Amino acid sequence: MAVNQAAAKSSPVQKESNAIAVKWGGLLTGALMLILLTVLVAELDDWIGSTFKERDVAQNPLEYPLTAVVIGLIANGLLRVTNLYHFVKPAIRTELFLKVGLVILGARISLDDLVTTGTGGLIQALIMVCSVFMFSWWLGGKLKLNPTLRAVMASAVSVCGVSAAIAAAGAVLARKEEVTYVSALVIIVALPMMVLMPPVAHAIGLSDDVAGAWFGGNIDTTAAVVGAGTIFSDDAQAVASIVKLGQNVMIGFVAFALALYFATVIEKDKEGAKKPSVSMIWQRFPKFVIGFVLVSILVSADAFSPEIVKELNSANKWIFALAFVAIGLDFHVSSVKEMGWRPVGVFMGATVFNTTLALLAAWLIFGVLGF
Amino acid sequence: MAESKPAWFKLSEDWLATIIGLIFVLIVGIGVLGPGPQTAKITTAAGESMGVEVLARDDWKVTATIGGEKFKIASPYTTLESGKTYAYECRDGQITPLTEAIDTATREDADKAYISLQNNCEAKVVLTYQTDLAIRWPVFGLFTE
Repeated sequence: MAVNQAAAKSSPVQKESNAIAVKWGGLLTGALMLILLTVLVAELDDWIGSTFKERDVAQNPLEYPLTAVVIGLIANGLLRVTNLYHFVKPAIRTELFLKVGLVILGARISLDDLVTTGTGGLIQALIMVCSVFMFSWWLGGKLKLNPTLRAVMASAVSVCGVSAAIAAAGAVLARKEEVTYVSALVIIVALPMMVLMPPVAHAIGLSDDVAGAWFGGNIDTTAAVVGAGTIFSDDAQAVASIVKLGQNVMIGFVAFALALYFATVIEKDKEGAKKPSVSMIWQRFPKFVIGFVLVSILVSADAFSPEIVKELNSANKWIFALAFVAIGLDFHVSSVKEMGWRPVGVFMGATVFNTTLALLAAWLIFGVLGF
Repeated sequence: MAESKPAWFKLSEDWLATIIGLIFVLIVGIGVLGPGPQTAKITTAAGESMGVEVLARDDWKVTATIGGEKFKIASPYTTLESGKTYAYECRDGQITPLTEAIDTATREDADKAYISLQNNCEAKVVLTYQTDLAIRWPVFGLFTE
């Protein structure tokens, strides 16, 4: 009896230590799995490239982001069937891998290019964020979505997908379920766009710059933007990334404006409503952009030899491949089933508007004006 | 979400990514893992003599072509010491390393090695010195090919 009582007393502590052990076990197992899957992607990419070369096709039409996403999706399905998905989930840090990759991507972009493309990117970002946000907000109102869901969705479509949805949710105090819904939609829509937009851009004869700016201005998730750019060309990848970073920078301003609007208009009569502080702009600022710019400055100042830069570019491809595998692993549709048609309708309508306007803006800014 | 700060909202990920990325760039950039993959190529027309400075390392891989055809050099210099000149000669369709490395420590850039090629053949000769990637994990070079 005494032994049983002691066991009962120590069980919560034991449970907690077991939970920590399981979490760390999942993290390490998941990390090892991701590394192995990424090596598999590299091997497959090498094999696919060689196979095409043997058939006199110099350029591998199945770029490595596609291979990586497909491998990720297959692993996703297998993990869910075997009930291991939630065990390894702590290691699937798509956003983190991507941000590390973007910091290192700075090594491929000179400061001159960054200033030129970045200026065009910021102009495009300003046009896109304002127009797409207003359109999505208006459409959400027409289809009678509640204000917090409208704010989260409009931010996700107009700024940068999941990160913007989270930032907007924090600003307008949205429900967690609303963020989950919108995040699921963002990922479900971004993946096919990543695959389909590069061939469409080729078919309509877009240049590297215009195609990159189109992907960067339109596709919601940064990962899929980088993926689409990579599939199109190396130059398109650079432009797409810079344009998307320009939009990422807007998160803080959008979150601040939303918080201000909700505090002064939507919830003005609500008890305990606080006015937001300007410091929110810095809080929401994507800090990895600082790393990206810093690396670009170092490379532009010839801090590293061309051989080292080549090495950094190779490392960058590995990290992006890891992120693309994680995109496939992150993919899930269950949250969307519970949403109903109206939020989906608003999201799709806003995406069509976004796609059309982004093409026009990219063509005008990067094609006609030549940024 | 309205009541408390949500656990899933983590801004620190941005800084974490920045720090990891910058550490990686600095480790590779300052050459902790090595000076990066090196390539030196000497291209000589018939009757011409050329030379090139390279890093003094012990892991060089040497390849050559005579008139566009691959040629395997018997016992090429793969370990190069600083301040020395390593000479090759192409004669009668054969590339051969001269027996002794010449001490040229008085050269201006004496911390490097020097490779020279005298082409006495009747075709263009290309001599290529290469090293592996700084990150020598066997699969690391896959995406660079």
